[in-house]
Amino acid sequence: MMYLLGLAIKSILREKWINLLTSITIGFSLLILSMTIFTVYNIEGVSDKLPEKFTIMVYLKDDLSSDEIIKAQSQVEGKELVKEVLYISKEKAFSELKSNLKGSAFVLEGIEDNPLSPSFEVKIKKELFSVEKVESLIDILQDEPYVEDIDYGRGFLDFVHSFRTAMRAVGIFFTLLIVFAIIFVIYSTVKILFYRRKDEIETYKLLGATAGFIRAPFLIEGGVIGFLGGLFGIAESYAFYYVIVRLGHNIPLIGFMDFPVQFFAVLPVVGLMLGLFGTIFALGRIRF
Amino acid sequence: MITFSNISKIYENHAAVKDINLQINKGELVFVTGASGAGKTTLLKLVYVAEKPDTGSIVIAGYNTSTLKEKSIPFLRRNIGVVFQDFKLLSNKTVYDNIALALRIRGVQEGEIKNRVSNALKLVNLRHRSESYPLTLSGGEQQRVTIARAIVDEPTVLLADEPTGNLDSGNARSIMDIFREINAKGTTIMIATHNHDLFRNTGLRVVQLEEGRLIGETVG
Repeated sequence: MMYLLGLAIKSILREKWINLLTSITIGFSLLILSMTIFTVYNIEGVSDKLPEKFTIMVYLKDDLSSDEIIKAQSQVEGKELVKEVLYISKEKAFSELKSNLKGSAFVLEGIEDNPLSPSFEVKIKKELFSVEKVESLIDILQDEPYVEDIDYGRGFLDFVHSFRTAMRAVGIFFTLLIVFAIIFVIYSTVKILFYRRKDEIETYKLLGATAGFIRAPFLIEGGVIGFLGGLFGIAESYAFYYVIVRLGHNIPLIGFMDFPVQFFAVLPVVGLMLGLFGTIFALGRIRF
Repeated sequence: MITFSNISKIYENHAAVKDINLQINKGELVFVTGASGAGKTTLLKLVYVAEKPDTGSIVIAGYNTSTLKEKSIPFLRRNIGVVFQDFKLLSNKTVYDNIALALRIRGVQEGEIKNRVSNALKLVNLRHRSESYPLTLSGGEQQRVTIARAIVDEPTVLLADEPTGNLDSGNARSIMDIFREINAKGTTIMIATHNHDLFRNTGLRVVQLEEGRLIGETVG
C-alpha cells in the first residue's frame, strides 16, 4: 500500500501542472455550485417566512347560532395544519370596515343592515406549511355546512409555489450539471495520465499486476485532485462570501441574505468523491 | 509442465502458429528455433496469455489458458518469468526498482525484497549497477536486468524471447550460463532464438518452427 501511495505521490508531483489546472477548474466549478446553493437557500429562506404572514379567511353563514359557531371554531382548530382561529363577528367586521374607511365613510351611506358575514381568521402552523397542504385544507373546509366562502391569496400562493419549484429545479439542474462537469474534467485528466503511462502499465500487467494494483495509484491521484479542487472551492467561495458580506452593508436586498458557511467544509469531501467517481469511469475495465 | 494441444493463432488470414502439439516437462530447458516470422514469439506470448489461441488449449502449471478467467491471468503470470525481446524496462526507475517491481506487485515486504533483489543482481553480476537507470546501461546489461527481474520471484517457468538477440558472443555465453544455473535449480525454461550457437552441442531439446508449424525436434 505504501508503495502504491508513493507511486501516486510521484505521479502527482511529476504531472503537477495538469493536476493543478484540473484542481483549479474543479475549484471554480465548486464556486458555481456554492453560488447556486446560496441562491436556492435564500429563496427557500424567504419563502419559509411566508407562512407567518399567511391567513385564510373563512366566511361563515349568517344564520349560525353561537353554539354552532363555537363548535365550528373548535372543529377548525382541530385541523392538524391550523395554528389558531380568530372569530370575527359580523359587528366587529362592520366596525373594522368603518374604521378602515374613515375618510370615505360616504361609501357606507344608505346601508342600514350589516352586509358582512361573520368569519374565522385562520393562521397556519409554520412548520407544517406547504401549498399542497393549504389547498387540501381549503378543499375540506369548503365542504363544511357552516362555510359560506373562503378567501386566501391563491394567486400569490401559486406564484410562490411555482417560483420555489422552478428555483429548486434550476438548482438541481445546475448542481447535476456541475457534478457531471467535475466528473468529466477528472475523467479527461486521468485518461491523459493513464495514456502517458500506458507502456508502464502494460509492463505491470505482464509482470502479474492485478487490476487493483493498477487502479490504486490513479484512484489516489484522482481523489487528491478532487480534494485539492475542494480546497480551492473553499478559498473561492470564501472570497465570494466576503464580497457579499461587504456589499451587504450598502445594498439592503443583499444585507438580509444568509450564507450557509458550514457548507464550505463539505467541498473537499465533495471534490474527493467526484474525483474517485471520475477516475473509476476513466479507468473502466482493466483488460489483460 | 506446459502442454500445447492443437494450438493455432491467426492474424488477418495469416497463421502465426498452426496446429502445434508440444509437451515440455518439468525442469526441462527447451529451445524453440526458426527464422524470423516462424512463430517463436507468438508461441511464448500464448504461454503468458499476452495472446489467446484461436483453437486448441495450453495447460501450464495447472492453468488452462483457454478457459482462464481474465481476473486470474495476473496469478498465472506470477508463475512465469519472462525475458522480453525488447526488455520492457521502465526508464524512470533504477535497476533495483525495476527488479523489485516484480516483487512489489506480489505484495512482498520491503525487507524481503532487498534480499531477493540483491541475490538476483548477484546472479546476473550487476550488483554494482543497482542504482543506475536502464538507459545508462549497455544492451547486455539491460538484458541481464531483464533476466534478474524474471527470476527474482523464482518462477516455475521462465520464458526468454531472443535473449541474446543483440549481444556479442561473450555476453551471449554469460547469459546462457545464467539460464543453466537457474535451470539447475528446477525452473522449466523455454528459450526462443534463431541463434544456433546458443544450443549447439548443449545436448538439450530443440523445437523447430517454420511458418507457424512445428516441423521437427532435434537435440542440440
